[in-house]
Amino acid sequence: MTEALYNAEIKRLAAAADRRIAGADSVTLDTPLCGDRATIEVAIADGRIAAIGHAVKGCMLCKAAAAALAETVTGLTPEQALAVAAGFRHMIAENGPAPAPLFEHFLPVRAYRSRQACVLLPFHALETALERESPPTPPAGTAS
Amino acid sequence: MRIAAVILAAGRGERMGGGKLLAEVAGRPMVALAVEAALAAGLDPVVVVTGWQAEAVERVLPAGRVSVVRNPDFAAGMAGSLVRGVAALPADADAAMVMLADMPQVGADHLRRIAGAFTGRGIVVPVSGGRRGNPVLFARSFFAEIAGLSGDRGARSLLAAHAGEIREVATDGAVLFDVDTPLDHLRARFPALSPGRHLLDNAAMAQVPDLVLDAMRAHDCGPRANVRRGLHGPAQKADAAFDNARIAVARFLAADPAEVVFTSGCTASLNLAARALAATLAPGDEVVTSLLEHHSSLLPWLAAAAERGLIIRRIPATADGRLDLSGLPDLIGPRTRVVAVTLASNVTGAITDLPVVAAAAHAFGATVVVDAAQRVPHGPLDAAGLGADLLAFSGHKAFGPTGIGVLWGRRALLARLGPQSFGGGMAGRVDGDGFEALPPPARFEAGTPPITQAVGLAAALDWMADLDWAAIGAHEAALTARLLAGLADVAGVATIGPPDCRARLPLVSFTVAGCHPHDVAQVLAGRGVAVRAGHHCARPLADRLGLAEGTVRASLALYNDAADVDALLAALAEAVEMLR
Repeated sequence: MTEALYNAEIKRLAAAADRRIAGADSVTLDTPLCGDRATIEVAIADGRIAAIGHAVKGCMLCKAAAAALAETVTGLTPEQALAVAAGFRHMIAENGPAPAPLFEHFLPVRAYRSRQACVLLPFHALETALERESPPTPPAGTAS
Repeated sequence: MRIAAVILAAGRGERMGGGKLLAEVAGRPMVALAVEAALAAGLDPVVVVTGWQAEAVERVLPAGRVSVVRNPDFAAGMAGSLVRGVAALPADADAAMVMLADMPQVGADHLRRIAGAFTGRGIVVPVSGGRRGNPVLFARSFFAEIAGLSGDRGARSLLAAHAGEIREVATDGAVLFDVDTPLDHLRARFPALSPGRHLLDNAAMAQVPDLVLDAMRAHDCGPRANVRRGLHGPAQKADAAFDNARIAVARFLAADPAEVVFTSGCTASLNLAARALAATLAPGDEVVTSLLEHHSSLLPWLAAAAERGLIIRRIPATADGRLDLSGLPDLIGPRTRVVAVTLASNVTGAITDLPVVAAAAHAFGATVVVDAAQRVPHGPLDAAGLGADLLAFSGHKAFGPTGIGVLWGRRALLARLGPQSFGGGMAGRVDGDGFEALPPPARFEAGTPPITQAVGLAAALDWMADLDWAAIGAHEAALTARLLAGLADVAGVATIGPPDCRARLPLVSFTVAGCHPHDVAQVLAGRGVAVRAGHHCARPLADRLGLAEGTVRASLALYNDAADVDALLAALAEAVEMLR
């Protein structure tokens, strides 16, 4: 079963070197339980994600998730990327479908509750970065 | 179909020093457990073959419910007992379940499962993790062949000769576990232990022996009542049980029961100690702690320092993970009020030379607070003799239940400290204007204390106090040496902590080059080996040692054996292969 968790695609993704984008908006988050630290950088051009930077100090699963995220959301609009992140969380934590083919390699993580935070961490960072870029519009009548 | 039981209970038990079948597990002689399981499973008749100490063994059997056959030649081997037992079966017995009386984890459910797989012919063998175990069921057609066995071969030779007639039944590890040695007997006390489960995360949580579970169940099924407030019968008994628990803890620590405070855990104990002491300190007072501290020992003082303007100083660590005491004269001085140190590191396993630290502290009148959470599971200790003034530990690491801890303190010191939690049970006079705290330990135990947990902890500590700790220490050291040697043979593995077994717990932290500790621990878990990975709530030490990703930690307890260590090493080799 552990072999499925550490499948070939997970290892390929995790082996990808960290990629940083100079000057991009950066968000770094930690998981208190295991100490993983993920930095996600977002470069947006013409209303779309032009590039994702990522750097992870953490386990293989966290590194693989960051790399998979970068491969998947580049070229999407921020709204589409947020939907992908929500779909990934739904897939991992609530047995939802994979929102992108690449994420199917992470399906075995569902069975390891203590490791779910590892793969979700880069997606939390992405969401934080995108929400910082485009804060939600307050409802009409709400005091600012 | 009529399935009989033949229980082989004639052997001497050489490696147990004789008489092992009368050794107790779960409060019952092992041979009696086997008989009770057979009867509960409906096996009929139940034939017990006795030999060594036959009369004593037969005395613990239920009169009138079993047939006894004596084997005077038991020393010649197991086959003679088997032959005699099968020969005693009635003519209408369709099969014989051949049971060993030294397998205390085999219960009626296992027997029913094996019997349920019997179709009227052949041999039924239980299997766990791909390994065949006992008991084995033989159809009547094999009885004649059994009658021809001799020596110490038992019935195993029949399995080889009739491989095509064997039906395997999957079950748990109980069918693999027999008691041959004192260590086996000790392991048999722990229901959670079984072959294939290698529990090496004991520094986080130890397993619980049957006697603790029995004590807690007996209390909750009997005199379950609140303490220090009831007049009815159960309340009186609960008071006595709670008092006795305090006495048991005191005995374990070579202390006075009035010096024992029950809390919810070691963290609660250390927080209580820090808050109570900090209330007596002034800005600028110094607290000396160490780089080896668990967060539960360190953070209460960091919080107190922030609140009260205390100055924190820290004893550094040596490269091999021990406290570096060479600079004590510079760290401990006239402004030092408290020295808070661990008695044994939960990361490196190093045992603190507490008398040296305490002497330095006491020279300036400082109070010595000791985190003994990791040390207590390895035997009784003399808290005051070591130089501690306050000493904390938890129940769940010491083979007791969760939800209970102990803060021991010298009587005069406790009397000077104020309560930190307020409510029922901790005050004497109470009026509209105020209250008067009761003397220790009650003043520190506001509210309903963990009564059942105290009963369980007392059972654990009483049991521990009677063990042969010289032998256990040697056993733990041998396993630690085996682990260290095995790790040294794995390329890329670096161990953290002392290189040998001197003044160290049976605990080894290590890193694997190119593999994150969590990934290693995950692969080990998939192979039945439980370890801990991470920073072990000792982040400052991890930073000092350059262990940003933490370590893998294998921590042993008295019930671990060489198979546990070997399983870890084998799984580690596979983990490295998989992850690199």
